[in-house]
Amino acid sequence: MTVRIDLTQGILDDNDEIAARTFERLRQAGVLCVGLLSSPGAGKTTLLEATARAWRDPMRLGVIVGDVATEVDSARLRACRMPAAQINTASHGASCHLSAGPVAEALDAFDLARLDALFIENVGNLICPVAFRLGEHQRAVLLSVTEGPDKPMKYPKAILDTDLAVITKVDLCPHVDVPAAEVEKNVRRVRPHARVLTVSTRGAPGIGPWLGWLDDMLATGGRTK
Amino acid sequence: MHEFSIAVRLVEAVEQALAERGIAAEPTRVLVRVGELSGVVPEALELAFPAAAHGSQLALAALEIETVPLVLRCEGCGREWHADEPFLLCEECGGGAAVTVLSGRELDLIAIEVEGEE
Repeated sequence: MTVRIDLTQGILDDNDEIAARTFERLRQAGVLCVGLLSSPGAGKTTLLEATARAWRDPMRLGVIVGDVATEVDSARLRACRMPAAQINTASHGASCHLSAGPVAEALDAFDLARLDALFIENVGNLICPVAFRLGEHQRAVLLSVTEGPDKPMKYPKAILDTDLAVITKVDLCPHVDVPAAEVEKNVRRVRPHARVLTVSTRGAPGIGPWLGWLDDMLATGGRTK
Repeated sequence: MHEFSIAVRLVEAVEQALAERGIAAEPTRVLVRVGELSGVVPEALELAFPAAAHGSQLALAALEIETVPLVLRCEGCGREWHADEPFLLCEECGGGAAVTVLSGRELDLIAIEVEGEE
């Protein structure tokens, strides 16, 4: 005799429950948590370095960095006086993305009472990290113009399941023959009302639009919906 | 290729559900629902499942995947369609109306089958 046990649960419920606790812990501590997703080399670490340099006190920012291997990125950010914790995903059984458990453990490395914002820089990958909530109040996807204009349409879930698209390296637009407006247009083909910013750490318009967005999020506790 | 970590979580979720019910038997079938917008490729999950289940209570279980179509609805004209791509734009009315995802995000464990007990 076959016994059928009916269930209704998400396969990622355990991950999502831990993420919800992280979300709440950071909210109660008054720390804005922003997740950064992108393909490898889109400029996540460089944007955070520039953010640390521009911030009133970089010690009031924190970052959890996910990479398959090395502490290269967390070392770069510590050099900007930003407190940083590194997660090497190869030692957590899945190398292509962060998950909520190791992120929740990494929170203990920070003095949350002293932070304005905590960034979570995911493994460079536009597919796998999207599925795993970590407890972020806001998620930003970075799209560099050097990747060409089509990434938003090729990886639509990365646009749909994030709150902000940041087009990076726009100082290189003339050199790679990719107008930022074309990247933005493709973001809007996936999601017409998406919030989109353009930045460069090496030329106009600088990172002012990103800092302005962070200030907005800090003022509202990261709630835009 | 995060389907392997999804498969590992699936095995853990099934073992936990069985433990909560005091069922020690090995399940023969595990039924899951995977939406077209879940980010999970069913074939990759099928490939990963035996490796994730190896040595567990699910070692002999067959995985059965029901795929759920991506269905969008335009809140402007009310049209509903099975979309190939998750682009939230209605080409019928072409307007800026909101488009809602009706289905396709599912990534659910829906049933376990066990032989012989009770």
